[in-house]
Amino acid sequence: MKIVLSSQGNKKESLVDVRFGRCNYFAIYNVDKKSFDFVENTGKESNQGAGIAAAQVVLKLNAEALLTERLGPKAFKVLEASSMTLFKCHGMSLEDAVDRFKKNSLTLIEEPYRN
Amino acid sequence: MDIVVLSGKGGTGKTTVATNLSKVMSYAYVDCDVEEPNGYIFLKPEQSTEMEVTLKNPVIDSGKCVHCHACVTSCEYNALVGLLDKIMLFEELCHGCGACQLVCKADAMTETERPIGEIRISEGFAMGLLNLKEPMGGPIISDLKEKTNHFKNRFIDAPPGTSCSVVKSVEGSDFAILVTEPTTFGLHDLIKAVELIEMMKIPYGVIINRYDGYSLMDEYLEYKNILCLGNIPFSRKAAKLYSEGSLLIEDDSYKNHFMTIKKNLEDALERRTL
Repeated sequence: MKIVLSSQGNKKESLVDVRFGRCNYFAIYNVDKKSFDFVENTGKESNQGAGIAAAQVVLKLNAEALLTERLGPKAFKVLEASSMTLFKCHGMSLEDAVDRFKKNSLTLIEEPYRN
Repeated sequence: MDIVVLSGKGGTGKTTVATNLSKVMSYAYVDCDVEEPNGYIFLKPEQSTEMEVTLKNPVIDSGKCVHCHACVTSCEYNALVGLLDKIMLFEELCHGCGACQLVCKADAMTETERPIGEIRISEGFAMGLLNLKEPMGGPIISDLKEKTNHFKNRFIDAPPGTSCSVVKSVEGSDFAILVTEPTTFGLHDLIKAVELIEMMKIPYGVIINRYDGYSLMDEYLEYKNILCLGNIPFSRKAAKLYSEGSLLIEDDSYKNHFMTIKKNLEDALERRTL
């Protein structure tokens, strides 16, 4: 089983990125192997629709859950239509976020972020 | 002859310049500031012909779609997303370029016309109007300029900024007027507008609105050797006329200022053709 996190860096100590569409990396955590992989978010330089492009990348990773701080309306619309479960995490490292995910102590993202 | 009026910074007086000059020079006025057109307030056009402007958006036949996602990959604007069982379209991001249709091997793509705004044309006056919540004025501006080609001489009132909509408004113009105000902010954005217009290789001159004496603005123009077409003095009288929806040329002293600008502009246009 795989989970995806929006990440500021490419180390397991890196922080979960507040931004989803324009995060620096996507961290892919393999729950069985207990290991992290990283892919750079090439869509973060998009002129428009960075959230949509990021959602498309995440969909292709075939993960079961996404851990991020918040999702914009367009990214939310895409991911809500998929089978992924969306979890919110605020100001924590990837390792911490994964721990809390395993302990089932993260809350769900149930609506898009609007500022 | 197309003369485009732009500014960089918003609220410097593009519309004031374009409406008043179009009157004193008997040019048509075309309002390309489609997000917030306001030239009509001052020129008060009568009876206009209205035309809807549409954008071509793809329609996906889910029965024919083979989920190859070629359309998704081809979309430069991230308007399409491939889910497991369907393609999702974000129509407000679609520029109507048709690339998705070209790459579809399953013949699952057709097009539909989606209204995004309208244009209104009267005698010597025209304006574009973008629908609420639509992000893209470009297609309306292009359509508006094409449908007002029959006006021999046009003042084109551009939107503020230096974005795509401004580029669309400026494209093909014979001369550009850059309107600015003597503030640090005005100068900052004027520099951007100058960069844009020099990149597009269009001859231009500057008008300083709300002029209240020699300032850093004059200094900049002298330093860069940029043509100054004239000034519009700062006064309560001008503000009052504007707030009542009147043209500044209704006041004699302001009319004189616009006649001076007209003269300088005509000289510049003549030099341009030499």
